[in-house]
Amino acid sequence: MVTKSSVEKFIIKELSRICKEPQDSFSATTQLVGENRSIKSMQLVELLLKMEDYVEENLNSEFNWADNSAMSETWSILRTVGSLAEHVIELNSKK
Amino acid sequence: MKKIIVSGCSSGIGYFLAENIIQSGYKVIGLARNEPKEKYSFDFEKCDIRNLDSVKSFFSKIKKDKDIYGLLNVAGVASMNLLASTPEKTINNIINTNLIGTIYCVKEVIPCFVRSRVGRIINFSSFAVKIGLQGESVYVASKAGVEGFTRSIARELAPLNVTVNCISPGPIQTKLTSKVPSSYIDKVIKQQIIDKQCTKEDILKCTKLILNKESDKITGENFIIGGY
Repeated sequence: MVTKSSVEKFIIKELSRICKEPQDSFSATTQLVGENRSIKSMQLVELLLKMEDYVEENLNSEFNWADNSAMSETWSILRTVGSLAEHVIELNSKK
Repeated sequence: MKKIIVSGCSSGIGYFLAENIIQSGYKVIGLARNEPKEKYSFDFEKCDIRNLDSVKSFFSKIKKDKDIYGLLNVAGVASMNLLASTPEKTINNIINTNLIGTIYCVKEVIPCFVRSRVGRIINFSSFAVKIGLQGESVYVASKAGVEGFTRSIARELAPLNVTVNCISPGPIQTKLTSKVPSSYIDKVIKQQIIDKQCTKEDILKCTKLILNKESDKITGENFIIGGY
């Protein structure tokens, strides 16, 4: 079953792979966009493509991350690892 | 087999490049609003590059294809006119096709390159930008935008081993230039370093050079055919 914690684990595993840093460098509060973000923009794109595949394969749903609000620092679903995981869970519950 | 996407494949330079690049061992996917009238040997996909939904719809079909290697943004329109007498619809069409359409296609091809970690993007500008060709102000504005976009996006995509370059041909014989008086075209050609009319073959040679795997560090450049 897909839970917020399992999605977070997946995101952290992918961040570790993409950024070539240990998994414990990342947590649910790791920032993905904005001034204090922990990853480069192209690494974020790579992560989001992985999330697109994850949502498609595990939830049979669609993850649209390129809309106008996605990159906004304050409200974005991409604020942190935790907010991204939450959004994925919401996609599952809306099905 | 490496795949190259060519926009504007229904006629002119786009059709010529799509047909001839196949002979260099690439598989070509041609995009255009209408199917080419002439016989063609590439895969044709209907796509209106001015419309983001249409562009997204095509690229969603190929987003996981790791063989996508190149994107040639050839689709373009021109309209020789004094700005004061250019209708709003024409202005929008030129900017939306030449500049916005190029941006849309590059935006949507990025997921392919994130997966493949290699690629070539070739945008098309014009010699008209260099000389600020009179009577083509909107066209020149759109193509100058393409040149600026090329330089900036080249930096953004460099970490993915994707090169982004621009080819700027002088006036060549296509439908775009068919209504321009030959004396006017001669005047333009005389401003090139090599004052001979550019041909489609010249553009093909430059395209092949950029697509070559050895050209992996040539990026952010504008290749003016004939020189300036």
